[in-house]
Amino acid sequence: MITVATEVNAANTHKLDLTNLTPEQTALQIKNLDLYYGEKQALANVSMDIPKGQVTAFIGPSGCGKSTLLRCINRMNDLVDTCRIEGQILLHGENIYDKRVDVAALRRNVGMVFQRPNPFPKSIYENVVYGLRLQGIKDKRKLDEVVEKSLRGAALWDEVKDRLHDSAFGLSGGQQQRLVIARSIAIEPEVLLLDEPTSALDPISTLVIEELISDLKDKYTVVIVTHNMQQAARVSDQTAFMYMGELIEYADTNTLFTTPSKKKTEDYITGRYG
Amino acid sequence: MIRQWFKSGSPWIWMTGGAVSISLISVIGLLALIAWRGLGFFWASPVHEFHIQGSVEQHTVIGEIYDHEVVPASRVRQAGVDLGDFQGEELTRYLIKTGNREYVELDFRWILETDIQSQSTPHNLAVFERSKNGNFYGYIEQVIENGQPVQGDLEEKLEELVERAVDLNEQALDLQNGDIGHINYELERLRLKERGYELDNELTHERAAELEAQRKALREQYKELEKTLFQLRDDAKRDQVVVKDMRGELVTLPLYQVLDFWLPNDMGFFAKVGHYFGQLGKFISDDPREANTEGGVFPAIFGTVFMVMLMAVIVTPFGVVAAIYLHEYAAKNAVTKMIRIAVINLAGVPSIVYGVFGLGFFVYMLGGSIDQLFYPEASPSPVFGTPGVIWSALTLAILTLPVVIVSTEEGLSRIPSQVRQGSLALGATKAETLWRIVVPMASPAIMTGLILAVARAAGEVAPLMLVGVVKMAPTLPLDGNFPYVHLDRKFMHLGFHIYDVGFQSPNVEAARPLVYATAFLLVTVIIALNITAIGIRNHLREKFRALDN
Amino acid sequence: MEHNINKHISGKFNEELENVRNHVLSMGGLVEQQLNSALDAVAKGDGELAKKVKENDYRVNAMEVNIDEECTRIIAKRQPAASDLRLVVAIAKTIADLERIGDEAERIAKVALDSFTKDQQGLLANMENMGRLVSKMLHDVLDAFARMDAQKAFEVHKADEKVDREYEALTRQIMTYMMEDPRSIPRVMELIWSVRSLERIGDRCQNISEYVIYFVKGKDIRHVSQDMIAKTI
Repeated sequence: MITVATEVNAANTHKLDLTNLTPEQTALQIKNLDLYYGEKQALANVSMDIPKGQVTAFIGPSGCGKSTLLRCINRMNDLVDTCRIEGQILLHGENIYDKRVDVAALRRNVGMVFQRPNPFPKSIYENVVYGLRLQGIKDKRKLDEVVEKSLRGAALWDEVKDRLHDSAFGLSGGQQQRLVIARSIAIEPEVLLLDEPTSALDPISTLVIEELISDLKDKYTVVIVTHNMQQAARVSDQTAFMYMGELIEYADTNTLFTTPSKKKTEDYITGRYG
Repeated sequence: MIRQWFKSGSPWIWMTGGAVSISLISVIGLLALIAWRGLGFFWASPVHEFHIQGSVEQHTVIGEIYDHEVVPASRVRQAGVDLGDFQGEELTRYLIKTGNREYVELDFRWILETDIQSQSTPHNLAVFERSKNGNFYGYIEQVIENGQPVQGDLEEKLEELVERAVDLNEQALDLQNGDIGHINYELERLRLKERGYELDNELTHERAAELEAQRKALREQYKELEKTLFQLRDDAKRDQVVVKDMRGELVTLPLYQVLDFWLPNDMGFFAKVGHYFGQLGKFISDDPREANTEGGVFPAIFGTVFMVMLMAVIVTPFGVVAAIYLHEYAAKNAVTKMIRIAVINLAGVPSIVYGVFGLGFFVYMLGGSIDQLFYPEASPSPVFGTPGVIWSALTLAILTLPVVIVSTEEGLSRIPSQVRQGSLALGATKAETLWRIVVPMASPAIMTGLILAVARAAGEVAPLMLVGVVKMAPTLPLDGNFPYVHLDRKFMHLGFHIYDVGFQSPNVEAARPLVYATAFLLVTVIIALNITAIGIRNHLREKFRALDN
Repeated sequence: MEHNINKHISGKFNEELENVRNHVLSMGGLVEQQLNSALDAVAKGDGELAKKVKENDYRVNAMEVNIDEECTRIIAKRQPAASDLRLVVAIAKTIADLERIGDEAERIAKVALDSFTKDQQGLLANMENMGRLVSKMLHDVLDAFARMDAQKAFEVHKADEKVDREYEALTRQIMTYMMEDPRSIPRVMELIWSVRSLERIGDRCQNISEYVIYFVKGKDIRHVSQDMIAKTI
């Protein structure tokens, strides 16, 4: 009886040992990351391994550093003048904060989708090929191909295939967000960072995006920050709970949402105060 | 009660609304005034014949009523005028435009109401518009075609002959400005070429001979054309018209001086409307005559628009690039702040200061250096080292630079950071993000800056007087002679034209309506430029609508 | 880890959870009373009391339906997570078991409506003994539930073994009796059903104790050996 139960458990959840991933299973390694905005410490000694081909969610109250941590992964925090970072983030075993790293190349490899849909003031087509044009790709056939593939990948193709050259602003919020996802996957990154991608969308559009996220993990490692705990529970395989710049608990989602091991996590996900 | 009224906010609404109304009324009033004064000038007003009882003798005055005013009778008496048995307190006096400048000492005269014995508007009174000496008023007595008096309908025949003469004059003018002007231009170029060779000590005999040959060929052409020109002119001089003027004398007017004639007292309403638009068209499309007091203002319109556009072409890239640096690249510290304040303060410097700067820096320093370096053969006469349209445009570009910088910066700061980040997250560098996303999205704001700059520049006169505007420019900055655009030329400007006609004219009364008409035209030109720019801006705004949900 | 269901930011949620928990406790109280009444009725041969037990069963059923609805509502509206989720799930399961216990009590009460011979009275006495055991189990597990006490729940879990042993002994005894006196079989069969019911009640109490442990410890200990359970606690 005991063995059967264990087998059933194993079949239901591909539980990874998050503290001990093999190099093949690892997409990103964050090691002892500290981040300061001026004098204020925003991240304190965060260490975690993000597994490949899975959805990892960061949850936590506002200002807990989850978005900051996400933005560290593609060095978006470089835009903040007062930001200072210590520690390492390893991608393919190389520190992305190394001086030799080309930030633009890193960002091509680690795509990002933001809170509000931010299509460019161009046509749908031009939005999708933006990243490719930056790389100097001009071959029309290749571009057409990528547009179709990316839009299909973002579950948007059927809705926009007849108006690819219309302005992207004509799309609904949910469609715009999917367009932004299509734009990101057009340059085939390895990691896709989603910063509260549905916070500006209606519930139905949210569900469409969530569905899309679970499709995306076949090809990409997805890291998502969300305010919506239920969303994290629905879409992610791993969840990290952060509080006041610290990583409190990092576990597979099923465990974290049924039997969290830390009291702070428990209090947060059940909606209790300290 | 009152307190509640104050609390309700209505006084506030009344106050703000009142301010808007006052502004609106003043703007509309101003426009209406200059439009009325200016545009009324082209209407064919009736020509009156007055019989005047002068102090000594009776005489006739023919002319248009130009103005009238009411004066106290006592003042007139004090001036030593005998009003006879006039009993009223006040009396009206009329300003009559009598024309016929070369035959009477004054082409405008005041006549007193009391002096008028009789007044009539004979239908056969004609007004002649002449290329010299202004209008002529009188009765058509005889039309002479080719030395022979014409029989039958004089007016019809005269119309035909005037048209012919005008046509021939136009041909002659075209020839003079076109082909002959071209030959002169070429001759001048040959001279400069020769001088250039001389300066470089490269003037060989072959070259001298070649130049001489070219010159000879041009001179041959010139002689040919000159002959045609004289022929045309002679041809135009063939006919005359004999007119009886208000003195009762017969005056022979050569038709080549007559541009147009009409019988205002004989015209119906629609004929007058047609005449009106004809005159208006001539005002816009003709060159000025008679020290700018007559004719059209086309060179001034052209010069204004050309200079403003040239300025826009110069100021836009400069302003945009400067704003991008200030907003995107410069460190956010005290120095940047100082520079920004300095830029904004530049907008407050009086424009004449810019004119002085333009003359000193652009014309003498920059232009002088250019002449030394590139046009040594033209010396001692300057090419760029003298006021010209390029220097005017540059001076105004500097004058309007702060406006463009400030509004571009404003536009840049309004672009949502998410859009920039979206571009950066796709692996774009900062420069790529700027040129592909940020600047296009800021283009409506840039256009707003440009609109303000154009509005300011088109109305600016003072600095231009120092750096390029002239009372009368013989040629436009754009013509058919290579290199087609002549940025070194001086130009005419509507604003300066107003000043010149209004204050520098020998004949103030004749010029007054032109001042209004030109002012109205200047406002129209500025509005047209602005509407174009606003149209472009709205189009861009629609295209780059920011993500304000 | 301590469990404070009262510290939610949403006071309404607190109230709802508190209510549903109280309802479960009162349902438990009712079921316990039913069981004790049934056992009393059997012991005293009190037909009236037995009828009353039978009549009261609808109240147990109604309470189950009510609490079930409340749980559904909480899940739909509050999307409970972690301990809250476990609490609601534990409650939903607990009330199902309580309802079944109620049914079993009704079945036991039926025995009191039959009349038994003197010989058979002895069997009844033995059965009453087992009944006390089960009744205590129910009482304890409800107590553990009320206090969210995993240790106590584990003790209940272990106590079921005793009930099982008692059940085996009693069955053997009854079977012997039946073999001796085949004519009594129809009546004694009723008795054996009641004993079986008691055994089932024990099992259900054990289930409830598992739910309590699940809620408190977050570990599913169903179908796991006692040693392992002891380890998790």
